[in-house]
Amino acid sequence: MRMIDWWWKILAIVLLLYVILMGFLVPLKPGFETVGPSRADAGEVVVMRAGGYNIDYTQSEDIRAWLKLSDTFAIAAQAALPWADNTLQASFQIPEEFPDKADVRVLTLVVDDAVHGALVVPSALFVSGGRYDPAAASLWTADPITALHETPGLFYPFRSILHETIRNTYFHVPMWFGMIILFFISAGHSIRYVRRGRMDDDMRALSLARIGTLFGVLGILTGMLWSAYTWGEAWSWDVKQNMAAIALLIYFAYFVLRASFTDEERRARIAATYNIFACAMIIPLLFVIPRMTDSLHPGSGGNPALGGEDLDNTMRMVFYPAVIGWTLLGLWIAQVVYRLKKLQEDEWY
Amino acid sequence: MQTIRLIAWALGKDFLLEVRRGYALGGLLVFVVCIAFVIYLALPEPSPAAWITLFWLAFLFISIHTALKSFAGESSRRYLYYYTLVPAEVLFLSKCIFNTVLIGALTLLLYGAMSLVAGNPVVHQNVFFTAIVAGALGVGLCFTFISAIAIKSDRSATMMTILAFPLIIPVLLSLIRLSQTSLMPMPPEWGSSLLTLGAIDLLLVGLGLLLFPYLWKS
Repeated sequence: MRMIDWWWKILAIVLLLYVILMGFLVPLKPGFETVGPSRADAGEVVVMRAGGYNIDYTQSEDIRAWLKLSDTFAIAAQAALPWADNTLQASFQIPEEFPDKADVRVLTLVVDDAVHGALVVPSALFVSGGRYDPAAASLWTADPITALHETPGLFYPFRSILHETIRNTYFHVPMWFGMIILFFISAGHSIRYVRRGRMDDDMRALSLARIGTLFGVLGILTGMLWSAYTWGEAWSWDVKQNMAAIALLIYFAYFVLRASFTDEERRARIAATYNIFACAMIIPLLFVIPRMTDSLHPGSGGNPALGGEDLDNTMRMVFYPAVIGWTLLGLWIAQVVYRLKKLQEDEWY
Repeated sequence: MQTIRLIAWALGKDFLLEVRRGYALGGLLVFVVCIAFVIYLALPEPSPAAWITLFWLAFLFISIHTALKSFAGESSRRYLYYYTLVPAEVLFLSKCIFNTVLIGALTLLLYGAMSLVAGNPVVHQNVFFTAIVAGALGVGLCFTFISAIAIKSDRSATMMTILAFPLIIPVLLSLIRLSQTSLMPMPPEWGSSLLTLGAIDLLLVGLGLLLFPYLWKS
C-alpha cells in the first residue's frame, strides 16, 4: 500500500485525537452564574453578590466593578471585594438622577481583574424610580470603564445555559455534517451504479448509507443528551429533532426495501433509484422546512446562529478539525464495511 | 408534439381502464364517503385545527390507496408491451397526471363531504383550493414514483406505506402550514409555503423523470 492511499486515515486519527484532547481539556472562560439582587430603587445603596464559575479570587487583587447603563454611561462600585473564593461582593450607590429617560433602567454588571479578565453580566440589575436630569451625565461619566484586562490563556465561551455542554459542539454538530456528506457520496455511488451497473458501486452505496445512518443516530443521541441538559427534556419536539428523525426513517425504509428483494440485480437497481430519490428528498427536510418555523436550535427563532458568541475563534480551532476528522472516520468505517461485505461475497465463489 | 400525443394516448388508456373497471373507482368513492362519515361520528363539531388535521390525514390515506393501484392494475407483460410502444418518461408523466387528477378529484369530494358533515372552517377558499391542487400534485408525483418502486418488490402494499410515509412528510407539512393560513380571518400570507411546495413539486418531477427510466428497465 502506498502512502497516498491511506494518509487520510492518519489525518483522521490525528484530528480526532486533537479534537478529543482539546474538546475536553480546554477550560471554560470564567463567568458569573448567580447575580443578586436583580432589582433596586434609584438612590439606594445596593450590595450585589455575584457567584462565579471557574473563578478563584484568592489570587486576585484590585478587583474593579461597574454598572453600565449604556456604552457611554456607567458608575463604578464603591467597593468590590471577594466575599468567598468564587463570589464577589460589590456595593453601588445608585444615583437619583439618570442621563436618560426611562421608567425602568437595565444595568449591565462589568467586573474586571488581572487574573480573570473582564467579565460581563448583561441585564444584571433593574432599577426603578429615578428621574431624568441632563446634568447627571457628568456623574455617570466620572468613572469610565477603562483599562480592561484580557482573559489570559485559551478558553471556550461561558454561555449561561450551555455551561460545559458547549463542548458537545465538537461531537453533535460534526455528526450531521458527516451524515450529509456520507449520504451524498452514497447517492453518488448509486448514480454510478445506475449508469454503469457494477455491483461494487451498489455495495459502496449501501455501506456509506449505513454509516451515514449510524452518524445520524449518534447525532440524534448526542443531541438528546444536550437537549436534556439545556432545554430540559431529551426530546423537545423541536422541528430539527423531528425532521432528523424523519430523515433517518427514510433511510431505514431504504434498508427495509433492500431486504424485500431476493434477486440481487433487481435489488441493486431499485435500491439505487430509491437512494438517489431519498438523498434529494432529504434536502427540503433538513434545509428548508426547519428554516420556516421557530426552533430551539441556534440560528432560528431569534437564537444566534453558528458563529457570533456561540462559536468564537477558539472554538473554530477545534470545530472545523472535528468536522473533517469525524467525516474522514465515517468514510473509513464505510470502507471497512464495504471490504468486509466484499470478502463475505467472495467466499461464495 | 409527439410526446404530448403519446401522453394523451396513455392517459386516455388509463381513464378508459378506470371507467371499465368500475369497482376500483367505486371503491375509492365509498372510501372517501366512509372516512368523512367516520370523522363525523368521532368528532361531530371538530375545532378548525382538528378539522385540518383530519382532512389531511384522510387525504394521505386516500392518495396512498389511489397511487398503490396505479401500477398494480395491469400485468407486467402488458407493461413490457407499453415499454416497447412509448418512452418510460411518457409512461411516468401520464401516470403522474392520472394520479394527480384522480387524487385531486377525490380530495375535492372529501372536502365537500367533510364540509357537509363536519362544517367548513375555511375562511380563504382560494388558499385552500390552491393547497389542494398543489398537494394533489406533490403527492401524486411522489406516490407514483414510490408505487413504481414498491410494485417491484414482493410485498408491494407494505413497502408502499413504509417508503411513502417518511418521504411525503415535507409535502404534508407545507400543506398543513399553507392550509392553516386559510383558516385565519386576516389576509393570508402564503407566499413562502406555496414557494416551498412548488419547489418540492419541481424537485419531484425532475427526479421522477430522471430516475424512472432506469427503474422501469428492470
